[in-house]
Amino acid sequence: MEARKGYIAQVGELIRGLGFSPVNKRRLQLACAASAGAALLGIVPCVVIAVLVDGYAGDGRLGPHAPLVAGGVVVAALLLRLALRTAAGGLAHAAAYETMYEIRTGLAGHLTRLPLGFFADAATGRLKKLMVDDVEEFEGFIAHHIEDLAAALCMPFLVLGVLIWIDVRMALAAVAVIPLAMLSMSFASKGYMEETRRYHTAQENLNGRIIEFVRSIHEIKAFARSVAELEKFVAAIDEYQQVVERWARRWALPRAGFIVFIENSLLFTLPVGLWLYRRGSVGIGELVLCLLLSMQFSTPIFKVLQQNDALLRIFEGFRRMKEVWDARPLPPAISPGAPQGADIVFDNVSFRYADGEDVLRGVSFTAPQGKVTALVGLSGSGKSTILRLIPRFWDVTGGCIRVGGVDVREMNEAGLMRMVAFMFQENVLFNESLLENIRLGNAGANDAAVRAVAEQACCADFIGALPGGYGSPAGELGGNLSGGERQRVALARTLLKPAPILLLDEATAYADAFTEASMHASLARVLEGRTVIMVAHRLESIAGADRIVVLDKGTVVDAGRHDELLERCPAYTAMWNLAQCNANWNPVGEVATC
Amino acid sequence: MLTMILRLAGPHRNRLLAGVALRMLDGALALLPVLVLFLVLRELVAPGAPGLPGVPDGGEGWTPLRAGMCMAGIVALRFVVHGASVTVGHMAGFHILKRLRLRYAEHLRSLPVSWFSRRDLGEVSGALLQDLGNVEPVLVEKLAAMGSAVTQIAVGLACIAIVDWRLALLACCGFVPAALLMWWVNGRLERRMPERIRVLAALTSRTVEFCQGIGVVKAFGIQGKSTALYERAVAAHRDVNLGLLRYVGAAATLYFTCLELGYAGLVGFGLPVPGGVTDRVDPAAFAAFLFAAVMAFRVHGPTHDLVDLSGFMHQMRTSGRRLLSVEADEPLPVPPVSAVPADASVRFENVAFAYEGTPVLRDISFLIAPKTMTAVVGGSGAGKTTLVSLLCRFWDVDAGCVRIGGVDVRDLREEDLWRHITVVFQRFSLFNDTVRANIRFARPGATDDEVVAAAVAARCHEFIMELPEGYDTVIGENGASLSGGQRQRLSIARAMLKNAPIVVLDEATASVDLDNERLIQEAIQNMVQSKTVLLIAHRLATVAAAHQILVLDEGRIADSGTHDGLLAGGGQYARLWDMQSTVRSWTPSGLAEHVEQAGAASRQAFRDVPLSK
Repeated sequence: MEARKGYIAQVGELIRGLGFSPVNKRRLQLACAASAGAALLGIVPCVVIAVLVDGYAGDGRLGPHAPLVAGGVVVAALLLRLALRTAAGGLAHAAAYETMYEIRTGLAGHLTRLPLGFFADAATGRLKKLMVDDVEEFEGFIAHHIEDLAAALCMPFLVLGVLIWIDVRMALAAVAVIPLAMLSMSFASKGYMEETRRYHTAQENLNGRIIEFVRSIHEIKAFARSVAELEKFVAAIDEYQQVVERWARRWALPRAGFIVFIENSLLFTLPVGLWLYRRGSVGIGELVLCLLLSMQFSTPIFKVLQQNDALLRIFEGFRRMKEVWDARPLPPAISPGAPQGADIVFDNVSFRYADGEDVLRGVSFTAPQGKVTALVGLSGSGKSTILRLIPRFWDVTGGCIRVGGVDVREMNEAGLMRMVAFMFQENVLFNESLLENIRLGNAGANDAAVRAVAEQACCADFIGALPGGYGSPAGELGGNLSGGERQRVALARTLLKPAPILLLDEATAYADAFTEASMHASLARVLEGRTVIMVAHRLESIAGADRIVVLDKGTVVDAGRHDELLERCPAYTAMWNLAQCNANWNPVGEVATC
Repeated sequence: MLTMILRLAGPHRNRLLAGVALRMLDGALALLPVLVLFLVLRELVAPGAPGLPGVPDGGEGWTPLRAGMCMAGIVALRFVVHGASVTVGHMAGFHILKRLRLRYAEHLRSLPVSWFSRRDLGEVSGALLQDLGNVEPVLVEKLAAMGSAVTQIAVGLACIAIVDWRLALLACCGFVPAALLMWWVNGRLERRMPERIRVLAALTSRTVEFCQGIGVVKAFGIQGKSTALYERAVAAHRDVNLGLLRYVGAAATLYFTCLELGYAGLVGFGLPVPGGVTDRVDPAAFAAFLFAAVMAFRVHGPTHDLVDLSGFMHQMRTSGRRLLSVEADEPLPVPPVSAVPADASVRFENVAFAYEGTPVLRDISFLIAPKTMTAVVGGSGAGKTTLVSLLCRFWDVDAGCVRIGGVDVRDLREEDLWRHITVVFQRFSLFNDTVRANIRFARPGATDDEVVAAAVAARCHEFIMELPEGYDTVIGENGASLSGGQRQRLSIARAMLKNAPIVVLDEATASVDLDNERLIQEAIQNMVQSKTVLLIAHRLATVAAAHQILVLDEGRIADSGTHDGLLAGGGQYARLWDMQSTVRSWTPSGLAEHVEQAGAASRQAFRDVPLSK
């Protein structure tokens, strides 16, 4: 009973949570009404047969038009029923696909309002599953389940009502199979929840292992492992097999009992009906009606029960969707400030991710307008986090960040983005021409300007070698280009944006040594006049920065020019030596100690 | 369809068929209550009517007890048959699925790596899961349910035919056109399916593009084209599906119209028109009518089931075909016995290779002596990766040959080839298993000490000992609980344990922090000790230290030799080197004048040198 209540409550929550628009709500209400009406009309043939029998049984006669009238009534009822079903199906499907459209576009709109940090941790796979697969599952619920539920709720009551009206004992006989069916199920229901959970776990595990198998196919081949040697893979298959076999064995008979009882109300209605008829309590027509009705009384319930598994998946998807809806956009600025200049000031900034320890503690430094500031530090020092806090991937948990004297939280998003151009390690391109991809940086730029900036980002050579030149498509997610080429196109796009502040995180990381050299050379000229903050792990490339901020475990150790730091900052000196050592390393050389 | 199912079933086909047969028997038994009902009603309605042909006559005198006993008997019988059919059928289905999974895995394993390089692995596994998911319900349950439904309809109609063929004809008036319609619609639907798949695929890729591009859209303050494209894809998905559904809905309406008109016809015309003034109807005819009406009413349910079931069959058809079709993808030819390489040298002899008609490598010849390092440099598209792919026999060469220790790689069985080569992949995969199992994956026979030794050499030991359960810590999906640098070193430990004499390295270019870079470098250094190394180089120091440098350009070896030799030769390599060593640092204010010269030099160099193409 507990589980049942949960089920109804969950369905209710789902219906509310899907947020049907008034039009679709109306559609669904009509669909439910039509579906219930269709279910009710389904009993008309029973009534007609019963009436014919009733008329005939008295004296072996039928009125001259009785058969045709009967046929006509059946035709009318069934065609009406058909019309209702078709209407219900059409309305429900329209509601389903319109609602899915609304959910998908609504989610997309919601996503564009979320802070950039929401997308930082490889959320794409998760979001794709939600927006495509999970929403797709809703179709079954909206288009079928809701109206089936209406029919399932309506039909038994009507049938029971008719039976009670005829004779309450008939009604009791008709429902007598239900406890038997339940009893039969109860032989299996001990540990049912646990068994179901085990089944879902085993299935999830199996699917995970199959994905892992495919993902690891190169390793499996390169290390010459046979399938039988992949213990976890084989174990997952065996485990699943065991669970389903046990399930099949345990469930075969209880399930058979359930189905056989629920399908055979005649088991009780036939003898009871016969007895009542012999006693004269019911007439022949009533008897026939009762018997025929009892034959089909359980069908709609059965249909709903069969959808249980799909419903479980739908609840899961709904839960995932709610999580995304619950993610909040950054609070808007109440009175947006107007920044003066393009200094960036970190004032005692602390930051921690929602679930973690402090990443930054009391970070203070200034990146003056028109100068290059470099952030250096070992892993976990917080360099990349600092860069991402400026365009508000997340908001600081302590202190504040000011751009041109204004707290970034006091600027509206568009205003902040106009100030800041940034290029981090994800270089997403769209599937259109390279020219248009670069032009995204500044919609007003003419072709010549785009080409010029492409040249500066060292794209010109490889683009020139492409058959379509600047008109070549980047491919799905830039798939037509190599990682290094994508990075250079993204750099060109960023450079084209007319923003006074430029943030670069490993802007040349994918380049090989030869390409990197020329990228550095041309970057040096483009950066003139902008406020630049950059992170690069090859320290030589930032040694000439106006200001180097040395970070360690989320705190600022020191800041200054390269030679100053070499003199006074042991942490920086150690890093510099390490960088030299790394740069001069080769695989077959002496094992150096740094 | 059935042929396909039987092919999927393989050795379990008899069990599958037994399960279906039992369920068909169950379907026939499900009609027995109609018979009992009829016999009882006949006695009440038309007493004294002669028995109907083909219908067992229970005689007169139906007492409630007798009727109840009959029903109880039928229920008991069906309980047994249905239970047996479920047990046999489900077991068979699950066994077939298990076999399919293993067979498919085995098959994937035997395909050449090139098969996978043309595909997105995520899509391969996604499609596989979807296909298995579509096939499972059919094999386990739906096929049997379909058998049962068809049996009920067929047996029901046959019973009516035995009683009175004219009544059967009336009943068939609905069934036959309905069946024809369904068959026709299914054919049409199948042709429209690709459109539906297309819009879903478009929706998927637009969604991915949209989600990935949100950052860009916000960063550049553009009203994203990707948003518009996404919304268009969502709308197209809705419209195509609704269009298809209108079609399906119309077809279903027609289907049911046929059935219901047929049923109404049976009711309307099944009775002989009362004749004469007496309006008497022959009791036998009325009994026959009653039987037909109740029976036809009873098989109405299965005709509805068929519609849902045919949907399952539909999905299964495409998936089953896909599951069977991979078996058509040929593995590379395998020699019966492997030749034995003499040493760990690698030799390319006049190798040419074209990919999908475009020549990638031409006339490549070189020798890598055992235990020396060869660095390959060249711009993107020069053919560096292809060179490695041919050594590992991801593809076969079009001309010339690739030899390991004097043996053509085509004369080595795959597992023997891999015994000689270790590739440190740029993209690698770790298993959701313990650290120990992940390392030992390279060589299942390795002792615990050997595993630890490899971990120490790959600079993993330290972080492993800090994990909650050391070597027995489970590292999560693809090593999710480890950092990027840790994962990479773990993959190196695994490669080291394999201890193959030839190592292929693609120098990592992704950004790692200095300390991580150091550890990875040390790990690699330990791995390549006294190995033959072929390395795709990105770093100058590595290139300079190589025993041999191959400069690839547009699929040819433009230059080769040692660092000093190439510098002295004054070719492209020398020019690049000069330029590179002048530009080590860049910023606008700090080193502007220095950079100015170097920038000019680099632009000059890149104009002259096609390396960057």
